[in-house]
Amino acid sequence: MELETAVRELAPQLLRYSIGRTGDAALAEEVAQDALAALVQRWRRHGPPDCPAAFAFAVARRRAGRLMLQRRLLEPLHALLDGHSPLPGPEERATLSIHLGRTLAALRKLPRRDREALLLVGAGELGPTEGARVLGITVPALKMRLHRARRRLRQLLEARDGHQD
Amino acid sequence: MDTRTDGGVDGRLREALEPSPEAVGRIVRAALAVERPARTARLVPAVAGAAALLALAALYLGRPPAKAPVSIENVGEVLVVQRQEGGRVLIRNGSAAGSSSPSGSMIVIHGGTQ
Repeated sequence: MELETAVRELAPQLLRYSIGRTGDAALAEEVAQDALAALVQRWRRHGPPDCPAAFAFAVARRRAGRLMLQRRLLEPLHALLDGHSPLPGPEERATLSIHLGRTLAALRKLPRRDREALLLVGAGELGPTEGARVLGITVPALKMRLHRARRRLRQLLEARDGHQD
Repeated sequence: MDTRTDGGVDGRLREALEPSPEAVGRIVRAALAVERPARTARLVPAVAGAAALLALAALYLGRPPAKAPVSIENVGEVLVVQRQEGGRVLIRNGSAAGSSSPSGSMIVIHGGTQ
């Protein structure tokens, strides 16, 4: 596989994962871009990794975790200094599509590990083997988390659809 | 438990999280614009490390030699022990030293019959 092809294929997958993970389009772009840049550098220096997708998603996962933590830690400081929180405010949240906002709200209700598995495989389109590799767990354990996450998310989305009707 | 039989949940998730084509294009362009690492750039840390080691070595070698607390000099049969602070001891084996220093000197006769 060519580097450019891999980057083009992975870009939307990484963005979906990052949006689901951060709930913020700008932050998601930053995460996805860093992951792809790391992949490009690695590819050019040492050749393609065994699994480019697993490599890029592992970077994105770490980067997203760090950025989210950073935001949470800096939030009180920003609020104190200039009254502005780095977390998406009500206006920014309102600009997200209603569909996206509701899906993100439902995702937040899932246990963290189950949500991570679903975002990698369901949103990021990683295979079970690659997903398990990124999370450092076995394939059966990943499948168990996926099963739980899908069942719970389906219930949440159906409940939401019922409320809308 | 097949991960592919998701009951449409994955599809709904992807649909909701679908990024804009502009965002995809931006990150693809930015990622591919990452420059190939220059060989010289990779050598910079190594060269800096070597320079630091050389500077340390030069400082170590260029420092003034530490003075010994005493110096011992053999003059004929007499050993002259000169202390850094100024004192001096003459040591002669077997008999008294022929002459003594005017001040701060001591003659030690070791192993003689006197």
